[in-house]
Amino acid sequence: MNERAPLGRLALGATVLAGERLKLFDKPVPETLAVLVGVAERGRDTARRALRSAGDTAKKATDSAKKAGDTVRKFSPSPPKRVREFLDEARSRGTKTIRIGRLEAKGFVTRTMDDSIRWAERTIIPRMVDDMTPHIINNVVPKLIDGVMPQIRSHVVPVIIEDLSTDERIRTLIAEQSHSIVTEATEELRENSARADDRLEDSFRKLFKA
Amino acid sequence: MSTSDYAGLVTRMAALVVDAIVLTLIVPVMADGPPSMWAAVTGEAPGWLKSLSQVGAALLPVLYFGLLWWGTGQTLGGLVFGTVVRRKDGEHLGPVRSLLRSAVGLLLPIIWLAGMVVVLWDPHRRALHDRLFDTVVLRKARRV
Repeated sequence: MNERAPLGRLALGATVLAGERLKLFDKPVPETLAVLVGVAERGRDTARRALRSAGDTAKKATDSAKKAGDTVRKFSPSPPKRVREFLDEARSRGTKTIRIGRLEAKGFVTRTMDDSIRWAERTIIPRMVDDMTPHIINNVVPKLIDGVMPQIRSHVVPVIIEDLSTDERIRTLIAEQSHSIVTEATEELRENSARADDRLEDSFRKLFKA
Repeated sequence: MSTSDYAGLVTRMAALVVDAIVLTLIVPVMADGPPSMWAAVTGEAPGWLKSLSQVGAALLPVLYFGLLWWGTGQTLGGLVFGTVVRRKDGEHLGPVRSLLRSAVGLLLPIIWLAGMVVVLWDPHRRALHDRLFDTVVLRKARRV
């Protein structure tokens, strides 16, 4: 969506989005709002058309309109029906406009947020980190450690040691590990002695065969 | 069974060294322990206790080897190096055979050690005393 959205529609979409976020109304948008938007749009279009056909054509238009009015009035539906049609059209048009405006506003907000975050990541955050790191390392962390270490020593470490020493899983783990170490050492010893047996016998055989 | 199923000279000597170390630690305790404890409690230990302790200490190596070979076929050295003493047919040693094997070995240590050299060319890696008592020293299969 590269084409720039009209400001009014964007504002309308943003308002609708904000209303949805604040739970002022649920989706779809209220019918009244859609009708209002449709009427406003129609009014705007009419105003534009009127401005365009201003000047000399005004008189001709008036005459034609008068004639057409007479004709239309002769064949047109009754006023309540016309009003209903007018309102239906306005509602449909308003709903469409609101939907488009909402999509445009959502896209606009997302793009703006992404751009802002990227910009902050590129410019602000690295500078902040660079400026704050020496301060944190030299001042904050030592103070934090000095303040916390006595508490850790007196309160946390004994609890952890107590937990570890009484935890059956840790005990089992240590026992298994110790057993595994002893077993491995024994196996290695046995394999080494077996190899030594074989070598000694080979040497003995070679010596006496020679 | 191949030759490698039997314990060779190095393994057997190493196991014997472990047993010797164990006995070196235990025998003095056996010889001096009871009289010393008696003396600590009531004064001078009686002569019979000293004699009994001495006899016990002298018999301890024979009993150590004899009873362990009879019971499990393994001394502590054998346990460390994974060797086990069996009859040639694979059966456990009886009490008489194991005690005799132990006694002969301890009474004639030079012959015992010299006879170990036979292990080097015997197809079943049997020492002289193994031939005498119809025994073999097997490698115990690894537990999985």
